[in-house]
Amino acid sequence: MEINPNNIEEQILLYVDGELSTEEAGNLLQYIALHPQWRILLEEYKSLVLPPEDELVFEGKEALLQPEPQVLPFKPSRKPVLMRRAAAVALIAGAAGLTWLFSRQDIGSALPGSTPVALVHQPVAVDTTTPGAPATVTPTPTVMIARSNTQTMTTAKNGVVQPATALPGAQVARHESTPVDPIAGNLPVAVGEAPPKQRALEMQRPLALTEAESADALASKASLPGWLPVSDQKLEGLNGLIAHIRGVKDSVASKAAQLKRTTFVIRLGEKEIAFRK
Amino acid sequence: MTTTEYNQCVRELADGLYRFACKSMNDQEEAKDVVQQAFVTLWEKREMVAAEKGKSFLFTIVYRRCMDIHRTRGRTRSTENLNENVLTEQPKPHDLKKILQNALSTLDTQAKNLVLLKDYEGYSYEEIATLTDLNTTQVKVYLHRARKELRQYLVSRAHII
Repeated sequence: MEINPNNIEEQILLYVDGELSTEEAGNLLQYIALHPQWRILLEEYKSLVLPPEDELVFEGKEALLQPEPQVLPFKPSRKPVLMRRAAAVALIAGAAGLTWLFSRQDIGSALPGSTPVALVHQPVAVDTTTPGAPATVTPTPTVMIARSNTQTMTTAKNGVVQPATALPGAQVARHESTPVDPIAGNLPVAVGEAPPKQRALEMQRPLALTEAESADALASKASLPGWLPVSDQKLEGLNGLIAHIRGVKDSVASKAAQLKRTTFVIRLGEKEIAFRK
Repeated sequence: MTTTEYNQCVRELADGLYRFACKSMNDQEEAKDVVQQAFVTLWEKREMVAAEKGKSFLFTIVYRRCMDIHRTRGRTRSTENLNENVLTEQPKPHDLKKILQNALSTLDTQAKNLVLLKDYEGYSYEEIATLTDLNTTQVKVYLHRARKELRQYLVSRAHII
């Protein structure tokens, strides 16, 4: 806006009230510098601005304040540290317990319906070329550990472990898994199982071998890769393990029987729903 | 607005509101009541008032209350009567502050309130218009008229002295 004598008073009032932009204020001051007769008017209006009245203070301020909600400062105490340590100890104890439990489950996997843990595999040479003739059994004590959940493993002729899915009737020497304890009667039967007559013969066969048989067996098996000799003492240990498994089995069976007699009740508020076998 | 923000308004604005009410009504006790009433209203309506609107909310209440009091008590005195009162007080020539206060009291209530809001609180024309339910042009016109009256008063006073 162009400043002239008609609007300069309004411009001065706007300037005093702080309503002019920097550019407009510069233009006004420049005009006044060129026309000093307006400077007196500018100074008069500037002097009319009320000075601050700092001595006037409201006395009842505190009465107007409202109680504020207390905010407690955060102070990390030692309690959480102790709790963290306790939690760590509990975690470690839990992990140890789980490890122990899983190790127990490995033993328990020998229960009916699961894969046998320890079996004594005794390769049996069966002559299938002449049906009806008594089979020639050549027992060889060999122990292996089978951990497969799906298959019963057999020991092949060359000592390599193979699934017991050999075709029946094949012209090869067949190997069969023979349990060393009656508990193995509950174990799954391998495919290509020997006839009952052969099994009866094997069951009657003593575990201990004669010295000559042992020497021959050792000589023939010592060259096989991965073969380990097993002594009677180890077999005794295995029997102990099987006895333990039998105990676990009995325990589980008793618990299952107990569960069958148990009545389960679900509470929904005041209602109760009972489940009985 | 939270309780903390309300208390912050009390600490920061109570003095300014009281100063404005005192100068507007020339009565400290009445000004105190008006300010207290304004804060009570703010506290009751704090849920609806944002923290940044607290100041304008309070000044609007106090301004309206001052105007109501002037109307109901008939204290909007004419300039002529006030000039007589002011002249009887005889402030010293060098006491510019006192002279200005006397000059301010010669203005009508609305013009005086506009000058107070502008000079004491530094509100812009637009903000004053919001507080007083006037438009910006009215604020500008009333303020300029008030300034000219104040200047006229000072010039005549200097002439008398």
